[in-house]
Amino acid sequence: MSGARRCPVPAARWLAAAALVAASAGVPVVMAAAAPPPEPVPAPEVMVYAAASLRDALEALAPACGRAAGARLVFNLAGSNDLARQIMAAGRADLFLSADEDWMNRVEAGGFVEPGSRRTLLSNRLSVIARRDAAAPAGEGARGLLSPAIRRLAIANPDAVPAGRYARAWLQAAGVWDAVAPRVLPTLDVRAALAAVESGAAEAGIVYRTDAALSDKVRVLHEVPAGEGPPIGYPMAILRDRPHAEETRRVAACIAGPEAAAVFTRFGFIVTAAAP
Amino acid sequence: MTPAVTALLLSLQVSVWTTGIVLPVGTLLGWLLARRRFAGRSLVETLLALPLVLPPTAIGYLMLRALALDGPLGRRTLGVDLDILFTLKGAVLAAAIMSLPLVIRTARVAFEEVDPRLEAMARTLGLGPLRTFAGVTLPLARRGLLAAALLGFTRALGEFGATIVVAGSIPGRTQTLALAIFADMQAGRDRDAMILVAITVVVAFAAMWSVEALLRRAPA
Amino acid sequence: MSRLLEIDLALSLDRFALEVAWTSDEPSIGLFGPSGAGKTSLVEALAGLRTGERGTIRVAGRTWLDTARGIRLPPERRGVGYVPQDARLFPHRTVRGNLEAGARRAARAPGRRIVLERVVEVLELGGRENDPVASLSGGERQRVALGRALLSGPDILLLDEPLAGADAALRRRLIGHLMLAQEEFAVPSLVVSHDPTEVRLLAREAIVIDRGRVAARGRPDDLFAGPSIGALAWDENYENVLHARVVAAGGATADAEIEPGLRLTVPGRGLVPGQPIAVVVRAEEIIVAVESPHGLSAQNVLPATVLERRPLTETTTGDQGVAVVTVVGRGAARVIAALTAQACERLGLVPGRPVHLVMKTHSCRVYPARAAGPAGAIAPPGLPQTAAPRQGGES
Repeated sequence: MSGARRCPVPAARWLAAAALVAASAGVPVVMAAAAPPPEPVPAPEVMVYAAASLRDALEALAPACGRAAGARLVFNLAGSNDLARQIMAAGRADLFLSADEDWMNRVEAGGFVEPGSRRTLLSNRLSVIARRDAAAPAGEGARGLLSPAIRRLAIANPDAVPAGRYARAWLQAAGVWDAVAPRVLPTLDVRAALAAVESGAAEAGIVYRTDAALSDKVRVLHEVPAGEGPPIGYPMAILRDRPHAEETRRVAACIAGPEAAAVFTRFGFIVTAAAP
Repeated sequence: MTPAVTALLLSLQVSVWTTGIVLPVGTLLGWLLARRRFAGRSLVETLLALPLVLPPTAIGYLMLRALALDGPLGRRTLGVDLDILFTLKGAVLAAAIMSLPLVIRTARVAFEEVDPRLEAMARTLGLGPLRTFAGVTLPLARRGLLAAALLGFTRALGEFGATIVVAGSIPGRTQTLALAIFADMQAGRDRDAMILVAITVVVAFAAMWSVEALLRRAPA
Repeated sequence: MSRLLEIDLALSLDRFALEVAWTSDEPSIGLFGPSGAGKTSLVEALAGLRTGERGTIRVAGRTWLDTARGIRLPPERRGVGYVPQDARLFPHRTVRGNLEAGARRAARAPGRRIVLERVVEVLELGGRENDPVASLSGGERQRVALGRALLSGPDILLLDEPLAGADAALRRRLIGHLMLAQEEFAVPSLVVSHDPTEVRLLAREAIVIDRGRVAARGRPDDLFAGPSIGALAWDENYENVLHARVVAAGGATADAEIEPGLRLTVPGRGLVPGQPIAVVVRAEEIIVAVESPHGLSAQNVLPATVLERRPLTETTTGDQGVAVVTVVGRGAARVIAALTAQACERLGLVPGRPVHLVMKTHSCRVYPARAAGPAGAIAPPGLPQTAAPRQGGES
């Protein structure tokens, strides 16, 4: 009495189901077969894992270095700790630029680095920043961070991320870390710390001077001079057993070359004497 | 106190507070949706279900923008600091929003399974709407409501995406179990991460076992 | 003095519209009609469980509903003791928990106090107070539902088909309990039933509802033994109800007097002299004799006069049956016997013909109208005496 149609024969149901399964399995096959003929072979990709603070500089270098190497640069930018773990877990990177030696050491100890390809490229400086439109919350130097006007201090995760570890090392050397630690707001990487200060979530933050320079919403309260803070170094290394070793070598050479050095300097990095 | 214990205690705090908030709210909303027709009901149902399907980071981001300095609930706009971002309150709020839909759903089903004719009978015996709710509806929905509470608790325990955006991952302050696992992973402390994972699995297993037992029909 | 129940109600149902109006002072009203006539909807409207009705309801002087003046009391303010067909006990409470569910309202109700222990005693629920509801039989559930309603301090009891789903033995026991409860607790009641015997035993006034309208009204005995009900009541399961008073008892049988000179021998267990009873005899169990029979095992032979013959509406055997309506004694009581058409013809049963009605003692089912306690102790001390004698006894 209902108006529903029913399969008159159970066998017909099985046939219908089988047809449906075959059709859905066959769709990708058909699509692949019907795909247009492939384009001329594209440029090989070079996968560059680099510390977040290098984002803007590397994006500026990418077109020129790519052409020079005959390759297309693809970037994975994050905290060096995350990148190191990803390399050791999945080994998809061709080139690694870390923000500290320690994480590069671990990658090298794991046997992932092409022997002899490691060199330290750059250095940086720490900067204490605050929102541009807020009243200055602190006095000068490390002791200035003790000011109660700073309820939260944004630092990249001091446990793992190089920028945060440098900041902690600086504050420990200045003897104020224990007092400041309860107010630390750890972020995922140094750019997140910058964003936290920009949005007002934290009254002050410690980032690289290269990060501070990129934002017009913050101002630098204090730049940590070379002798006062821990030594900062950005090592670069080629990773072994990768398909496009030749292109990667050319990319590395470009990044270490004089044109790149000028770009890095423009962004505020310090170019250390690089071995060819 | 080891970091693992700290994270566990923080998680328990967040989960208990969250359950304390979402259980009454979810029970009330679940009852409304089970028993009342009202204009705009479909809209309300859909809005309340959103946290179930939206990415937790999306919810967290919306909360972050709302509570930021210049946001509609920020210090500059309201004139007073709600002090929610990057505090335990923020973790509780994020977990509450994420687990509320689950509690509402479970509570609603619990109420739908209560025979409304029994409620009508209580009314004829002289019990007003509130006494009927307390004396008939609630006791009969007891098992389902307990399951709702457990579900809310467990969901809060595992909440990550919205929490890390709104409350951050501050050890000893807001770094709950889920966040601590992530932090250990980030720092390469794999053994510590596995210990925390094990703790979380044990707690979640016990909770879900109970939920299933409660939601199974009681023997007639 | 305010009337007990005034109703003037219009309510739309699925297949027709219910429109009823009546006013009654009788302490027990029977609502009679076939299934689907709208009786349950009417009862629900009385209880305040329906929406969309128009009209007025006044009970014991209080207005429960007056849509013209915008008055609509919610169920908890009405004072109804509702006993639905399916008992609807609270599964999460014990028997005692159910019985006490309405105690709050009872404590506020002025007037008589009904005591839980007495209800348990009258309804024979002793020993089961702490049992869970799930362990009760169907008959026990009905009794608990009735006790719960009684103990909630109601102005009126609404019993919707209280004997539905009961087999013959259970039905008899439940009717007995209901009659006792009416006697003992004297709460006005409205009983819905599709069974004429139930209405005759439990109500002083019957209101017949058919297709949503009041079709007839009157004393149950007049209605159901008279021809006006017709097809609604007359089938081979028809039961005769005779009111009598016990004159001799003690032993397996007792003698009951319908009127001076007209006696029945009935099963005597539990009866005491002076007790009013109702005797129920099925029409199909009555033998009609045109001569005074001798040597029969049956102990009851009543002289009667044939009043009329009417066709029976339905028989299971399919052949045309005849209801022979007779008048016994001085004309107060009518007894109907169900015979085959063939037997009627053979005996020549025409109006005016004197006959003898033969009934076995065991065909007479006795419903005591009053609890058999120590002689004279009709109501426990502390309770007011129950009202005027129940329908029973001779007029």
